[in-house]
Amino acid sequence: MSTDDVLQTFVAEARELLLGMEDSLLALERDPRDGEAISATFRAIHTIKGSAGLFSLDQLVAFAHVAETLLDLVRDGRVAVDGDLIALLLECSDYLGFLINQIAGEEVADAATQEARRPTLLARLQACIASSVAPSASQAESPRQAPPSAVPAAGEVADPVHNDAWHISLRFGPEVLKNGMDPASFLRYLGTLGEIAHITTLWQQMPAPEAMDAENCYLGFELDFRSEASREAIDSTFDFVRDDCRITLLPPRSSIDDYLKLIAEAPEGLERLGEILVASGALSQAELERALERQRQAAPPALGEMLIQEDGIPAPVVQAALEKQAKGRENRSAATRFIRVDAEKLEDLINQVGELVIAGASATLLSQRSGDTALIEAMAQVGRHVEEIRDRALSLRMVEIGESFNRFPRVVRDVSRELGKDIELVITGAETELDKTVVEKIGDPLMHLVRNSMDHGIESIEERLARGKPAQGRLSLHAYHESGSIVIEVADDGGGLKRDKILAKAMDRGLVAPGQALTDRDVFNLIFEPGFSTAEQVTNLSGRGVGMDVVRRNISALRGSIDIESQEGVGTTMRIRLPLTLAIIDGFLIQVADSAFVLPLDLVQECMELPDGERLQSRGQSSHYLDLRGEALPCLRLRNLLNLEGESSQRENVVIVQYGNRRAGLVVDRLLGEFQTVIKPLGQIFRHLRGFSGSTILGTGEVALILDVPTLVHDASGREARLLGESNAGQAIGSEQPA
Amino acid sequence: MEMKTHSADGVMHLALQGEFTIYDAGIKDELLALCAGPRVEIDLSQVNEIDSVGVQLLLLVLRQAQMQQRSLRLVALHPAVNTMFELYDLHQTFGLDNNGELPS
Repeated sequence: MSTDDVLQTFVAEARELLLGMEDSLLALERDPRDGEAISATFRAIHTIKGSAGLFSLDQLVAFAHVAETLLDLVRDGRVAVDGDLIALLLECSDYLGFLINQIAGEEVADAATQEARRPTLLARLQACIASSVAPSASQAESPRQAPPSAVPAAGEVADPVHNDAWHISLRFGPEVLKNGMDPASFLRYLGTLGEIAHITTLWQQMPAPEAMDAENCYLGFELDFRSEASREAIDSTFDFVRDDCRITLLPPRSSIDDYLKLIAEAPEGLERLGEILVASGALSQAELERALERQRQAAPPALGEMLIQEDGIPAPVVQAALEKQAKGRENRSAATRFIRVDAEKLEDLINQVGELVIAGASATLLSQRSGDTALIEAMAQVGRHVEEIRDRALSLRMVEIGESFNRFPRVVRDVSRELGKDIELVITGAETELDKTVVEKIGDPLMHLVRNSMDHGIESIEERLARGKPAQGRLSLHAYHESGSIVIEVADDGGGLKRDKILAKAMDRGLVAPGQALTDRDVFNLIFEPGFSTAEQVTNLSGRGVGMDVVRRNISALRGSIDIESQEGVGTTMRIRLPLTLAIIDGFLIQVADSAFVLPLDLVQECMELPDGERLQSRGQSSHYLDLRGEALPCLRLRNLLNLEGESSQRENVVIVQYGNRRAGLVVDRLLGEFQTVIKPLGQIFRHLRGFSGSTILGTGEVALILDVPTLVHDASGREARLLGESNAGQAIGSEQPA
Repeated sequence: MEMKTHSADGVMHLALQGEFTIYDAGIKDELLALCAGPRVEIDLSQVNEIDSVGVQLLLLVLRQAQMQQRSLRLVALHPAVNTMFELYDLHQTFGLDNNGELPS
């Protein structure tokens, strides 16, 4: 791997870590005592800092270091977790995200503004650090993360102690035994690396019998250890318990400050641990007294000092690098399950498979013409395999929609704060899979819908209480599969859309003629018209009427659709429907006159022969209704609709298609059966053509157009509504004639 | 693990037998009850395997006895127990010499 590749990996990893950190911070906001969330946040920053150190990304390291220092204090309970702290850390996470984008070489629009935040953020971090209670050591570095003296080189360590053995301090977490690990086995393993010169087992933290859980671990150890092994080797002994164990590793002749810190942080208390260290020979009595004396004098580090420490990066960097290696070992088992593949390679593969499908179709056709049974059979076999390869190849690009849901908890939190609302986000179906390209492109429209729901949908707390609703609003994101589509719902339990208001506004704008009868759905869909906004107040989030039309345009570009369900006072649900893949589909081939067309097979419900009587009636008309088992089914005669001339077959057929909850029948001449369809986009010239979503190449080399079922269904049922509406409107106007 | 008791001359003699590991965590209350007498001797010569859970339980009954100023002694250690005590340096804690013997 070249440095560039490694850097890319760093960027990807750092982004994941920041995302994880954001999650932890949000969890922390819900429960400020969530120790796991604090540790996770600390680890995220710590790992980013460590990795950044390897690339000498000094800007990033310096900033992360200050944040890490603060988080360490938080972890030790010396800085309280409150809303401001979380807000600050979230901002830091944003800023780090910006730095990482810069490192990734991305264009950052407001780089100057972002960069300007740095001094403010640093100052706020320092202020928090300075406010920590019980400042005990002259340096604020984490115990795990490091005595600045990673290598006990002579002359480098300030004020070393005489102890020439490693000192290891261990406090096992309660869950260790339940997780199948016994402290004894770690000590035994340590024994293979060197000699345990002295060990003190600390068990006094064990609670009284009633409170003691015999399966919990209450043990801690202070041990002195003579070994030639490297720090890394010793440290790696504890890889399996790193997460639920406090480990402090002091190399021989460490600085007395490091011991002081160890003593100050021991849960057993200062005096007790001091005694233990003296008893074990780690410290002499004189050294202990000197350390304690120093502690009495120590004041919280001044800002200048902190910055000097920051500049003295090399030692912590070495340390971070070592820890990173240790960490790497832990992660490796997880990493082997996934391979990062260039998206372009997948794209190529899918294109190739597409070509294979087309070539396969033409070979199958030729085999059928030849009438050679053995050949036909062999081709059928090949065909099955091709189909499987196609499915597998397409599934490679499928990712869970959760990836684009990930950022919403943060958005909901920020926006609800800004608006002074209390909103709970419920995500379901995050594991629903969707084509990667679609996931990427759906992010922005979703974001807009979510913001819109929070801003306009969910009412203010007072309003909610006045309406007898719970103060906390609820916004839900729900994804699921439905006949070849994926459906994403953004639902709120807010005030709902006000039909009258929308209608009035639409008439104002001339979008609707007075007296025109519209279904609720039609009215609601008006909000997707350009320049439409009913918000009484324009906030900086939404209300300017830009957006909803863009949302619809983006979704249409993905061959999807959006519709709205809303009940005034109860809530609104926006439902986005998207095709599952963009590349290859199972198609259903039909023929009208001499042309072949393809329908997505997933949308085809059933086929039936057009009854003779209906045929006669429908001649010459482009639409009609059919009695489908007692239900009036709107039908489109494709021959008339598309203006095709040519010999018609004796028996016409009806293909019944469904999209969403609407159905329509398409009258065609012949049914040609299933066909694997590689979707080729229509050229620019045909972009505005209504009713077609793409083209494909048949086995014969001919081109067939893919019918856009959603539009056709919409047209067919829309015609019905319009006809009904016109007659109703006529009556309405008639009755409203002024007397 | 099995526990056998007999008392003589006002001394409760408790013999533990078999493995004393996390699978025996449930005996905590029973063990505390058995060790509640004024003079208790625990025989560990038949305990052929012990882990940290076992060690912690022994420390627990020891601390209870010390707090209530009762006498609790370990009278014999299986080598497996002895090795564990060595690793954790607990002989002194239990009033034993470094060979796992009662100081004479």
